[in-house]
Amino acid sequence: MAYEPTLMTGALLFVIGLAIVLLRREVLFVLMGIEVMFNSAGLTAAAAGQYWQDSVGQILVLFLMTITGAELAVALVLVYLAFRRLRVTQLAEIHSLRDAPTLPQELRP
Amino acid sequence: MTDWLWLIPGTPLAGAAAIALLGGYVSAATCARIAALAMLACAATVAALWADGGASGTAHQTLYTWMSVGDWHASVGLRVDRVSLVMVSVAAWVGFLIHLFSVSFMAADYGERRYYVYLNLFVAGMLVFVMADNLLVMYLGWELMGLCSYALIAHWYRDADKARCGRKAFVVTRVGDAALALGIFLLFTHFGTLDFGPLLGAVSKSSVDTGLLGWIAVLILIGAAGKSAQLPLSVWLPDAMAGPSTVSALIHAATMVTAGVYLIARLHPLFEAVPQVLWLVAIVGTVTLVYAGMAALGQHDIKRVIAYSTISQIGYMFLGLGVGAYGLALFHLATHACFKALLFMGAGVVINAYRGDHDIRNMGGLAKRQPYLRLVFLAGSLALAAVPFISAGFYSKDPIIEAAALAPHGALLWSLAILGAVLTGAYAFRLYLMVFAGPERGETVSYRMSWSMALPLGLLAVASLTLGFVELPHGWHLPPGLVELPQGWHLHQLWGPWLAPEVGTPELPHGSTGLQLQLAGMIAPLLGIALAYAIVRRERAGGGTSSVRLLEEGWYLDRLYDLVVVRPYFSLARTLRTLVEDWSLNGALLGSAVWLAGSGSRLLSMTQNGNAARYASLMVLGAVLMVGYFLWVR
Repeated sequence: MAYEPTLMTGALLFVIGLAIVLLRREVLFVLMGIEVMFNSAGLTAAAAGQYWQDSVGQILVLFLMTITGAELAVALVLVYLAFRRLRVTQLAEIHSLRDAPTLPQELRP
Repeated sequence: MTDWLWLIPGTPLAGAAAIALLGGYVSAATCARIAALAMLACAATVAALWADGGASGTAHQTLYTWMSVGDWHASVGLRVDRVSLVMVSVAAWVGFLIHLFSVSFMAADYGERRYYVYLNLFVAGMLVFVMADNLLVMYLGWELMGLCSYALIAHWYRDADKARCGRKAFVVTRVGDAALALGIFLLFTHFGTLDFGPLLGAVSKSSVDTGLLGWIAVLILIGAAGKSAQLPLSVWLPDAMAGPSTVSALIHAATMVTAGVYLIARLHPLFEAVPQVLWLVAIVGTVTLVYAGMAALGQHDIKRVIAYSTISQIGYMFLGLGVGAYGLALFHLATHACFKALLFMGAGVVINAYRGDHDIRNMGGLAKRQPYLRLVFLAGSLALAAVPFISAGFYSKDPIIEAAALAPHGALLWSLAILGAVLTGAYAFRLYLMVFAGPERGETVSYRMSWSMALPLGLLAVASLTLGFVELPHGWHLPPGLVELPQGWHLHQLWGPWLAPEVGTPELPHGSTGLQLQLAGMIAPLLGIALAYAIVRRERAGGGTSSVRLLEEGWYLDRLYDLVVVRPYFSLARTLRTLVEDWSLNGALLGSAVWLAGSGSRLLSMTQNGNAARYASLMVLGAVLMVGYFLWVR
C-alpha cells in the first residue's frame, strides 16, 4: 500500500495546525491547533511504519493518542484556570512573565 | 644559653597576642598589667642573658627556615653579640619602665587595648630587629616598628590632625624604608647572601667594586636617616609628638629612632670600605645636630622641644658613627635612651598637670607643686645638656666631639659639634627653667603620681646621672684598688674595651690637644645654660627665641617639602583623577561598557515580551533553520 498520501496528509495537517497556533488569538483554538499538529505527527508515524513494513509506527500512534489525551486534560484545566483567575481568553493577554519594560536605575546609561 | 634566646622577642609578642585575643573579655587595667608583665618577663630574660655569659660571647639560635628556594635558604635566626646586647638591654629595660609608667598614665584614656597591643608588638619588632642574624629578618623587625609607630602616633585618631601626623610619619619613613630595601636587594644580588657573617666578610675584601659599595652604603644611609629622623628626612619626628607621651618616650626617643644608628654600627665594615660615605654619615649628623638644636630653641610646645633635641642627639650619634667611633655612638645611644625617655615621660606629667596645655610660655614655677618631678626632670636636663662630671650625657657625648676633631675636615665637624653642645645646653635649660623655675604661672591641677609612675622616673634619673661612669674620658684615671676586676679590665674604662672586639677602638686626641678639646667640651654646655637664663628672661617678657619665626617653623623645612613635594604630588594626583579616572576610565571606558550592556540587554529583552504567539513563531523559525542546516549544509 502506498504511503505517500498518508505522508502528504500528515504534512498538510501539520501546516494547518501550525497556522492555527500562530494565527488564532483564543487560547482554546491554539490548543486545538496543537492537537491537529499532534495528529499530523501520528499520521507521519503511521506512514513511516508503512515505509519500513513495521508495526512499531502504528503502536506509536496508540501511545501518542494516550499522551495527547493526558496532555489535553492538563491544558484544558490551565485554560479554565486562566479564565477564572485572570478573566482572559486571549493568548496575548497572558503576559505576567514578560521582561520588565524599564531598567533599574544603576544600570541605566 | 642559646636555646632560649627566642624568649626575648617572644614574650612581648605573646603579650601582644594575649591582649589582642583576650582584650575583649578583660578590663583595660588587666590589659595594662598583661603588657607590663610580658615586658617584665622580657627584661628578666635579658638580665639572665647577662648573668649567663651573654656579655662575653656571641649567642646564636636558629629558629626555623623561613623560606627556601633552590640552594638558597632564609632562616629566622637570632644572634646576640655585644653590640646587639646593648640594644637589647636598652629596648627591654627602658621598654619595661615605660610600660610600667603607662599602666597609671594611660588609665584614664580610651583605646587601651589597642595601645598595649601595639606597644608590646613594637618592642617585639625592635628586639627582632636588633637580634636578627640576617638582613631579611632585620628588615622584618624594621617594618614592624614602622607599622607600630604609625599606629601609636595616630592613637587618638578621632582627632583628624593627629591621624594626619601618623600618616606623615609613615609616609616619610617609607622613603627611607624603600631606600633600605633597595640597598638590601643590591647586597643580595652581588653577594648572594644576607647573613651578617658571610656578608660582612665578603664586603671587606678588596676585590669588590667600591662604586657599587658606595651606592649600597648611600641607600642604607638614606634608610637609616629616615628611621632616625636625620636630614633630609627629619620632618616626621616633630609631628610624631601627636601620640601619647609614653609612645614618644619609647619609640621616638629610646628605641626606634636609634635603629638607624644600630643599622650603621652593625654594617660598619660596609661603610668602612667606602670612607667617603662614612664621612657623609658624619656630615649628615653634624648638620642635623646644629639644625635641630637651633629649631629646638624656637619651639614653644614642650614635646616638640624634646623632639627636636632627639633629632639633635641622634645627630651626635651619626657623627660618632661617621668618625668611626661606633662604640661611643652606642654609648650615647644608651645614655640618651635613659634621659630622653625620662624627659618625655616627665613632659607627659607636666602636660597633665597643666590640664593638657603644651605651651611652655604658659607654664612656670611647677617646682613647688611637683618637687619630685622637678628633681627627676632636672636630672634628665643635666644629662641632656651634658653638664660635666655629674651627668651621663657628658661622658657619652664629649668623646664623640673629641673624636670628630681627628676626622677629615675635623675642624669643621668639631666646631659645629661644639656649637651644637652650646645649643643643647641652651634649649635643655630653657625648657627646664620655663616650666619649673620662676613664679607660678598658668592653671595647674594637683596631679599625683602613683608608685608605678614615680619608680620608672626615679630609676631613669639615677641612670641619667650615673650611667656615664662606666667609661671615663680618655686620660682620666681612678685610684687603683677601688674595686677588684679581672685582669686587663679597668673600672674607668668598661665600655670601649668591652665593645672593641666587635667595633674596634676609636682614635681620640692625646696630650695637650686632647686636654684643650676636653676643656672646650666642658665649657660649652655651661655657656649654653648661661644663655638659657638670658633667653628665659626674654621669653617671660614676651620675646625670646620662640618669637623667631625661622626657628619656630624648623627652618621652614616643612613648608619647603610642602611646596616641592607634597603640593606637586597632590596636583599630579588630582590631574590623574580628573584625566585618567574620571574621564578615561569612568567616562569613556566604563560609560561605553555600560551603554553596550544596556542596549544589548534591551535588545534581548524585546524577545521576552510575554507574547506567546511570538515565542511560537521564533520556535518554528529555529526549528526550520536547524532542519535546513542538517538537510542542506551538512
